Amino acid sequence: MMKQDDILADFFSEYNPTLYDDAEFMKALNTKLEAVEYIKQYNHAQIRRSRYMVVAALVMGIVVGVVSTAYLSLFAGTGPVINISVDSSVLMFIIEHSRAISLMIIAIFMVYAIIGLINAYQEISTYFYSRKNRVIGGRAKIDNN
Amino acid sequence: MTKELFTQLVSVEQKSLRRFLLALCVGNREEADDIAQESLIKAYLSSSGYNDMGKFTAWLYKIAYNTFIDHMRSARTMSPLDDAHTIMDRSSADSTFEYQELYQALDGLPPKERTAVLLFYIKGYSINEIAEIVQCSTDAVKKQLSRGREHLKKTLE
Repeated sequence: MMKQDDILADFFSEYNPTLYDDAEFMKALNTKLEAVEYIKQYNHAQIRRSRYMVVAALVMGIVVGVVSTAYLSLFAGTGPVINISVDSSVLMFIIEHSRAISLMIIAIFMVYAIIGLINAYQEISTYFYSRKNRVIGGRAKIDNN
Repeated sequence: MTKELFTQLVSVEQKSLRRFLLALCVGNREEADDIAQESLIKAYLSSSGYNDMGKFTAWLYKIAYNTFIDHMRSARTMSPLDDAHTIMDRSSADSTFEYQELYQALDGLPPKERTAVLLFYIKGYSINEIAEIVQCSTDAVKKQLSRGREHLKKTLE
């Protein structure tokens, strides 16, 4: 252990510099802490909202996917899924290609559900990563020796 | 940790922390207070995961040290114009010029040696505690202290 009874100990024992006002410092800190609290609450609300949206997207994707697949499976073969007597060429085109269109809609909803799943996974992993790396504000190291 | 408890603990420690940072920033009050504020905000953000109440002060100093190092790193990447501005700030920071001799001596020390010396003499921390704060081995801290003391002695005598 190093001895403290030297010139440096004397120098530092008298070290008592004048600082800016304590009350002002604490006031500024409190203002910042309140801002931090506000941002934290806002972020939590955003995360909660996005979680609900992800769950809703997931449920919707699964339900629509299941219903559409079940609906399509009732119609065997390659004929149209819906059949309406109309003269409009646009509607006729839709009816003729209803199987393909249905499959496209199912695919879109399934993709939506998969994106929901990926988002949920990313959110969970980000949450655990941020919890793990919290503490010690920055881990900078510099080479000075 | 609640905001109230954190504020309560910090109000006790802030003066000592600011004095340490003022010495670490070699008399630049604005920079020292900025680092102190930033460190305390970081500490508050991390305080929900903190439960070792016995070492709260050392924990604060560790965060303050890391924040100081981050500041030094960002100052290094500043443009020459920004650099010149910093130098001007520093020269006018300590308006009363108290402890100017000490600050000049400390300015000649690398950050790690400066930190080790200040934690040892101002805070009275042991080598083990300093090693934990600056995230070095005890041998490295011993060397930093030894070199720092030699430099300061030569400069101050």
